Amino acid sequence: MFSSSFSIRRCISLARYDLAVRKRYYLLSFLGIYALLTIVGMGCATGYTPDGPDDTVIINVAQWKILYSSSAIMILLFISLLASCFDRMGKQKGRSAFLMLPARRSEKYVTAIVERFVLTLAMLLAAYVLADLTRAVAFAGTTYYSGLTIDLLAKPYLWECFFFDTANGETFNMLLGTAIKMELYVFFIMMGTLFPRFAPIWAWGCFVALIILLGVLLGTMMSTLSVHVLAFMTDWTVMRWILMVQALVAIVVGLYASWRSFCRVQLVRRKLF
Amino acid sequence: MKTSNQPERTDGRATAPRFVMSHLTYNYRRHGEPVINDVCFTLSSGHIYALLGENGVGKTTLLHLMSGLLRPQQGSALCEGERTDRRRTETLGSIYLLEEEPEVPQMAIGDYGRLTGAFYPHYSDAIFADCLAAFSLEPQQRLHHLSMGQRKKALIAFALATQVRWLLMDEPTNGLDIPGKEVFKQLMARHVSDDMAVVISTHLVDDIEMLTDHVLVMKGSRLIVDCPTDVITQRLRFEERHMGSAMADAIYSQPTPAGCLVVCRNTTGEETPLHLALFFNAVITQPHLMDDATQPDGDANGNDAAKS
Repeated sequence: MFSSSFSIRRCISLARYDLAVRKRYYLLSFLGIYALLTIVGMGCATGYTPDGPDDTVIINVAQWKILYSSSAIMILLFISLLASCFDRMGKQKGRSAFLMLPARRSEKYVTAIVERFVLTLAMLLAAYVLADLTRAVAFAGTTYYSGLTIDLLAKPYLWECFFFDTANGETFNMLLGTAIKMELYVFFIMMGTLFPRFAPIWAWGCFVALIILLGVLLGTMMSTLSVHVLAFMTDWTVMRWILMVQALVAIVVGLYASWRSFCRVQLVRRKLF
Repeated sequence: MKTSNQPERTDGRATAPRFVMSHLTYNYRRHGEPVINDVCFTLSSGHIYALLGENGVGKTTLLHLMSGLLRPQQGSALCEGERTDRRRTETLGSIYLLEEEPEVPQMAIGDYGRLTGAFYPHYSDAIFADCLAAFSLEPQQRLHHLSMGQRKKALIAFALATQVRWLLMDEPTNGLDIPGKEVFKQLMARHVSDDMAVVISTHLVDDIEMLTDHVLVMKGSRLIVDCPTDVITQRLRFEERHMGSAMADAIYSQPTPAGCLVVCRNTTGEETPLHLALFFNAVITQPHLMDDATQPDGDANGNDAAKS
């Protein structure tokens, strides 16, 4: 087993170790996600009282409102959990124990991100199904919509939220949507690596600041630029290529910054916070 | 004078593995006196080293530098030719650091051994089980439910089970009960093989006096003693003398209720039992104690400094 090259077996050992160490954390996270999605689902269902099983209009509206709201919550939770994939590096004791494990830096880095990515997705989807069942049972016999929405999982909507974006089925738009979402995820992974101790809070703060800054910048540009420049910028054909390139660049830069930061905090005293 | 272990070279065969600390210097702040200043010594397998020093002298920092958790500002810690701060997998697999207050995950002892032991190539389930049994611990007990002393026992058991070549222990007996300390000594004698080197940083010198065969003493960020115990006992004699006894040959003395403990030059050439605590107090007071012990008659007596 002891080879110096990248070892999948060691990655699996790292993943098993991390799961065992943070079993309680993941269980509590799952329960928290389940509780939140149940509350959101129930909240969305109230106010929608179908006249009967044939009242497809109200039923469709209720289903999609539950799904949209739950998806928004799930994406926020997904990003939060991704941003804290290196939270063990935030405290000295935990960092020492993690750093002294005989494994390559790249193995520790890749395992932490992939494990968190996969586990978070699994937790979110499982929690959504459970929350939907809970709502259906709780509202059974009441006037509120008590049907299940989990059959909507069979449709690509949730996957579109997290990854793809069919956008009328155009391949380029699908790739663009995926790239922009991956850019967002990499941004939060990067923030989580730079600031492991307060990862989600820092990441959210920076994200909000970035949105505000972009909004101010865009508003200023729109009001000051010439007609020709505006026409160029609002040409969707050009804009989507610009967005694609910037997303790819941001993904590469973000992953590189995250990796470099992870390498820097390998030393116990070399930390940002 | 420091006497370092020299590598054994016989008939042109390869030397024994060595862990070389070369001019290590480290400071937590940008300015001011470094915590570790130009420390040089070499570890060889098959020895148990006692790392002694006063509070705040840098023993834990030195262990962190040796294990690669800190990068020295000057100098290097080379484990079998590889810098430890590069944190290569092979290097990490040959070093285990048992911290004074280690992180204890929320899992059963047996699970911890199974999951963490998978990373160490020479990890032994049998040794782990033997050590747990000796410490009266059960594998199904959960680490976070144990007392501090019990956690220490569990982690000592794991440290010995890793069978790494370089085992670094920071205050391993701190928190152990009296039977636990005896068990610790027995397990060290039983499971530390000739391929291993152990560095024990401790204030509780009585716990390791019979185990150690090499002493490292730090004072004022520097290493002032790096000497095998047999050399110490060849050069120095440790005695307990009653009140009123002759003290002319005493290099250092320390009062006790019955009289005093005395360090004097060993003129008989026979090895005498080492009193590690007395030796430490003497060498802290007189950093050149070992040098004085090799001087011709007269110098040692002139340096006599009885502690009141």
